[in-house]
Parts: sequence; structure tokens; C-alpha cells
Amino acid sequence: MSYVNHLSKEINCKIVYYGPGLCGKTTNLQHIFSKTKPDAKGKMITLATETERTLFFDFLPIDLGSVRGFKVRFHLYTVPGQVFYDASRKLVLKGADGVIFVADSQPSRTEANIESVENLEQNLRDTGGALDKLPYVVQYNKRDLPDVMSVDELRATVNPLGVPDFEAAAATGAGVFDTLKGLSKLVLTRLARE
Amino acid sequence: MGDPAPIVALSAAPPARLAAALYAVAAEDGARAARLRTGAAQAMAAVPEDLDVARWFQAVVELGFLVASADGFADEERRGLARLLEKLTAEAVDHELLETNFRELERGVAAMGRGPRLARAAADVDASLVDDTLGLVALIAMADGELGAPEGAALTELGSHLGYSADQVRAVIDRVAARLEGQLR
Repeated sequence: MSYVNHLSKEINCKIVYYGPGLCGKTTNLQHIFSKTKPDAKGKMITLATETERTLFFDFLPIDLGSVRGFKVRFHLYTVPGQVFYDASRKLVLKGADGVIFVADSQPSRTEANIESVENLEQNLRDTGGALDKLPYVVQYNKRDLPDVMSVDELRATVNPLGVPDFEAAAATGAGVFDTLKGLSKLVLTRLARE
Repeated sequence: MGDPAPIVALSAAPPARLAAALYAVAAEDGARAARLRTGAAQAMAAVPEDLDVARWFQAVVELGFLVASADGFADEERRGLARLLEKLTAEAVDHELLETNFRELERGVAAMGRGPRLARAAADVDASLVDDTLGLVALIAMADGELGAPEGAALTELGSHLGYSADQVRAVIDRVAARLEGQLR
């Protein structure tokens, strides 16, 4: 659910990084933050409560142009770590304009990946959304580790919808911006249509 | 159980008198009044020359909205606040645009959450303007004649992002309320 700030002449979009604990969501955000020019980004903000820690920052991608004369500001959100309460994950999904699912490529994390995708689908349904109606991409992270699953295997387990997918190694930054650009295109296409 | 008692309940006054008091208190500091006018003009400029003051003004508008709407935001309150800001900025920004913007900011709260938006907008307030900005936001929140408990809680949360304790925020609230009462007498 994007909204327009008429004073800053910006369309604001919420992008959520979702995935199992320790899959690299926070590392994605930190890499984007560290590589974005200071004048194009807000502060990285951590909001902690007793049960959750939400991490987010916003930025204006200079290469994306504008939609009907308004610049597009992306707000990148994640609930990092292993959040005990599902309510926190549901809350962060609320109003999302796009979702990036970050899968862990290690075979030992297969079950966690599948559970997280199913949890994503369920939580979207619970908040009135659906994965196939939302700009959505999948990132296969940790490709730099040894003995990871093949991309075909990962596709079969976490990308049954066949949405755009990307290989990444967030720890080095590889593939991080490609993934975000992939989702940005889908979000902008939808915005232009609306 | 009913709503908790408001933190501040200003003396009853006709809307026009309350609006005049709000304007008088907001504009009594010449530097702040000038910053509001400049900030609004810069925010509305096609290419702002002073991005910092434009961002500060945008932050004040959003923070004012976030705090004032913490206990609901009736159409009358939205209109009153838009008119107040239009007057304070010497019409650099139009009240209709502000009303539209408030409606969009409501969508923003629904999507992003009030807490995250408070934290984000607070990040655009320079350390040297913290006290003044908190006072301005408190004044905006009192534009309907009172400061409710949810608005007070939002102000305290905002204060924490700006490095102010609950006691310091309370002192700002009391100061603004006293000035408004002085105008209403």
C-alpha cells in the first residue's frame, strides 16, 4: 500500500525482506545501506520491543526515474533473527508493496526455507494479501558457501510460483542489488499501472 | 471504562479564539516562524536550495500529524491543522494540499506503522532544533484544545528518539500549555 508525500513529492513503497532466521536478510539491508549515497538515504533504524526487533531504512534510488512526476522512495524492512512471535512477522508484512524472500542455500536449511515460505503465504492470506498478487522475487543466498544446493533444487522447494529469482552472497554483496532491482522493476510497473 | 483523562485540557474557547492562540504561540519566536516559512517554501520548490530546512519542515508536518492523530483524527481537526500550518507558513503551502497530505500520511501509518514513522521523521530533526520541534509538535497536538493520553504517549516516544526523557518531554508540554493558556486568558 504505497502512499504519496505531497510535500516531498515522493511515492513511498514498503519492501519487506522475508525468510528463515539467519538467512541473511539483515545482511542484505546492511549492504544496500552501506553502498547507498548518504544524500539518497535515511538513517538505518532499529525499533526494538520485548519480542521483536524491526530494522528498516528508506532510500531514493537515483536510477529509477519517477512515476507521474513523483520520485519513488523505497522503505526496506525486515524482522531480523529468529523472531519467536509470528505476530511480528505478520505486522511487518502489513501494507507491503513488494516482498523479497531470502532463502538459505545450505541443504541443512531446507526445512526452514520451506516453513518460512509457507509462513509467508499464510501471513499474507491472514492480512488479506496473496503471494501471486504481489510483486515478489526470491533470492538464493549464501552461494559463496561450499556444498550448497543447486539452483534447480532450490527453485523446486521455495519458488513453486516461478517468480524472478536471483543468486546472491549477501556477505560479499554479490547479487544483493540485482535482487532489489528485480523487485523494484515489478513494483514500479505496478505503480505505473495504478 | 472511559478514555483516560487528557494530559492537558485547555480552557474552553471558541474555535477562532483557540486558532488565534495557537498561531500566536507558534509565531512568537521569530526564528521559528521564519524557519517554518522558509521550510515550507523550500519543500514546495521544484528544486530546493536548502534541503535541510525543507526536510525539517516535512518532518514537523509528519510528526505533528503522527502525534495529533494518535487518538484519532477527525475531519475538523485535520482542517484546523491544515489551516494553522498554512497561516504559519504565510501560505507557502496550501491547506488543501496539507489536508490531502494528511490523508496520505494516514495510509503511511497503516502501511509502515506509527512507531517506525515517528522514528524515521525524528531522524530529520537536527539536534539543535529538538526542543523547538518538540514544542511545535506538542502545540499542533493541542490544536483541538487538549492533549490526550495517546498523544502524550506518542510525544514521549518521539522524545525518546530525540534524546529527551519523559520528564523533559513533560516540561515541554507544560511550557506550551502555559503559553496557550496565557493567550486564551
